[in-house]
Amino acid sequence: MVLNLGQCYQIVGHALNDLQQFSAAAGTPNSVSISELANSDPDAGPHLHDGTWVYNYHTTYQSRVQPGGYGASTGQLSIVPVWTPPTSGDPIILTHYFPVRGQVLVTDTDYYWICNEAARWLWFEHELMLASIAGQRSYSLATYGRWLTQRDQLLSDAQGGPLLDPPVVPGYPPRDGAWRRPRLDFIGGSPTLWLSTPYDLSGLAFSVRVRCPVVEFINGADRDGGLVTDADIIQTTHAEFETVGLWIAYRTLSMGVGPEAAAFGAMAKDQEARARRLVHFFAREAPAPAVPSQVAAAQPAAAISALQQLQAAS
Amino acid sequence: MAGVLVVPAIPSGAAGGGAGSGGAGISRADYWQDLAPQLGRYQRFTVSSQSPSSERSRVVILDELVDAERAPDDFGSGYLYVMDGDQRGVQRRVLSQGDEAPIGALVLSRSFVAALAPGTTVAYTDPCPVVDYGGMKGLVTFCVEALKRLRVDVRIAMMGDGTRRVSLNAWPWITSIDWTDGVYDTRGITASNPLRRSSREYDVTVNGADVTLELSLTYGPDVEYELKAFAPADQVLSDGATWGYSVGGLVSDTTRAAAPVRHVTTLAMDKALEWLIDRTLDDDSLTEAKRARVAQRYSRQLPTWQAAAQYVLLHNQPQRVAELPRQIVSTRQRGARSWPY
Repeated sequence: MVLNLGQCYQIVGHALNDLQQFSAAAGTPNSVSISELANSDPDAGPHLHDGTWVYNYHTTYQSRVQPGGYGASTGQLSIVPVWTPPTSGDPIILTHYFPVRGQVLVTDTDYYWICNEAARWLWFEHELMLASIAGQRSYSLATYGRWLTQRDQLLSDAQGGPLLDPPVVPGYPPRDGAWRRPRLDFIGGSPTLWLSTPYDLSGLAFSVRVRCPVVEFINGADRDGGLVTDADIIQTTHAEFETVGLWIAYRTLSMGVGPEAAAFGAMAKDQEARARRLVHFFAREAPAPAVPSQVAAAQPAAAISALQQLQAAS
Repeated sequence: MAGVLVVPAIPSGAAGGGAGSGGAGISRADYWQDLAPQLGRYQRFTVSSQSPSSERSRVVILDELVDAERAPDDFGSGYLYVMDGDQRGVQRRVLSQGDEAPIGALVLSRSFVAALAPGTTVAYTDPCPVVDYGGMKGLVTFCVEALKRLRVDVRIAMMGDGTRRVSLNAWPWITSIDWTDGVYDTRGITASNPLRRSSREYDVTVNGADVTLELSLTYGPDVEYELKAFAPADQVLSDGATWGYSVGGLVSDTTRAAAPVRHVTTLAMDKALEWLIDRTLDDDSLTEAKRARVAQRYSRQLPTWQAAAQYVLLHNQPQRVAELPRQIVSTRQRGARSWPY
């Protein structure tokens, strides 16, 4: 499944209960009118939407509601800074915690960054196509050195195997090539594929199956720089992106001050645990060593008893 | 005095009726092809085409093997042996998951030096290869081990030189008189007649590494006679044209030996099953259940073949013709009822 950046931040924003999407009824350089926001409730004062981020999904212009800038009777939002006026029907996105993008007031963390960060923690199965050279046992993968940095990025047999041999006859499925014992090595930091059993012929197309961080493969191609525009596409699923995106958002929110930040901290911890259970979660660090109390808990009762007796004897 | 080994006197049933002197014997291919189906799977196929898009010399396409459902490991880990063509006698192993049944292709763990030409005959064997492969003992090895346990009759042609002492060092398996069974000559009959067993005594003496035939009578120059002996069956070999004594063993499928094929298969099965049971029990690549199942299958067959092998060794080996009644009765059989000779 693929998602574009626009879908990605909407997934995270909705999960965070932070994002609302409307259509512009009319607009000026310093306002936008949204009929769904028209409200006759006397409690709907002019400050109801103070500081809300306003993003035109069509033109990608962004601004912010100024203090007291809400006209309840018409649903008009007065904004600063000025922008190119939206036309009627333009999709308008309102967010409160984060701006969609950092184009304006760049000091704030934006949804673009949250999505790129989430995409760094997810991976997908990627096949690197190579052409065989008769008798050659090593193939440089330096082209992918930007993200191919760990031996375990080569897919295991349980994940479908690390290597696909060319089909025996045209049109037949590629064969599992794990019997050639492929291995990743990093010579001077540059990834190299080793095959214990080389190919007999040159020019055969074979593929190496690796775990590729989602953020490194944009619009179906290996690309540096991450998600840049709303239309940029990545390989992931709605559920996985939402899980990781929400973790990143909570983590970011927990860096503030006050009781609200503490609450987000707890939520971030909880969400991280969910993220780490995902199939495609890219654990970049080694598992933490077990603390002594956990080791003891894992010991069979008999062994602990024997240990206690030894201690008592000494 | 030099002697030559003449054709072995092949026991009946060895290679068809009348396959005695000048007989063809049994080829190595005959031996292992009789053993292979007893021990496991053995099928012969004809290469139908070459792989057009992959490693041609690693892939063997056999139309006869096409099957839409067979599992990738069905022919996996078995062995392919080339029966004819340029690479005759070359052997390869099929990858454990190398059976591409829907297109009848077998992918090998090692490429041939060149792709097998369409029309080439290959033999598939499992669980043992034809010849030793890696740590696996081959069918030929089991046949050779069986031949080592069998004996065949041979006649060693001699030419008289007026002495009574003839060196037997050229036939190192003769280490005592027990490996011989009489001297044959034409003494007292016309030389053109077939040689007859001589009633004269002889002996075989050993002095260190020297083995000597001690005759009680001399044979004059140019007088032909023969020493009948028993030879280990793995050392009396023919290259298809000439029989001779050789320690080289069954070096190719055309090398021939004289022991009956069924005797060899019986003894080879005994050895092979014993070996396969041990190997199976040590094979950590198998699951516990499969290891037990396979070992049990071999174990079930073993007693039958062991009994048959014992029978062959006790009753189907060439025996010495009894010594003269006078000598035997006087030394061992005193008081015996009657001697059959």
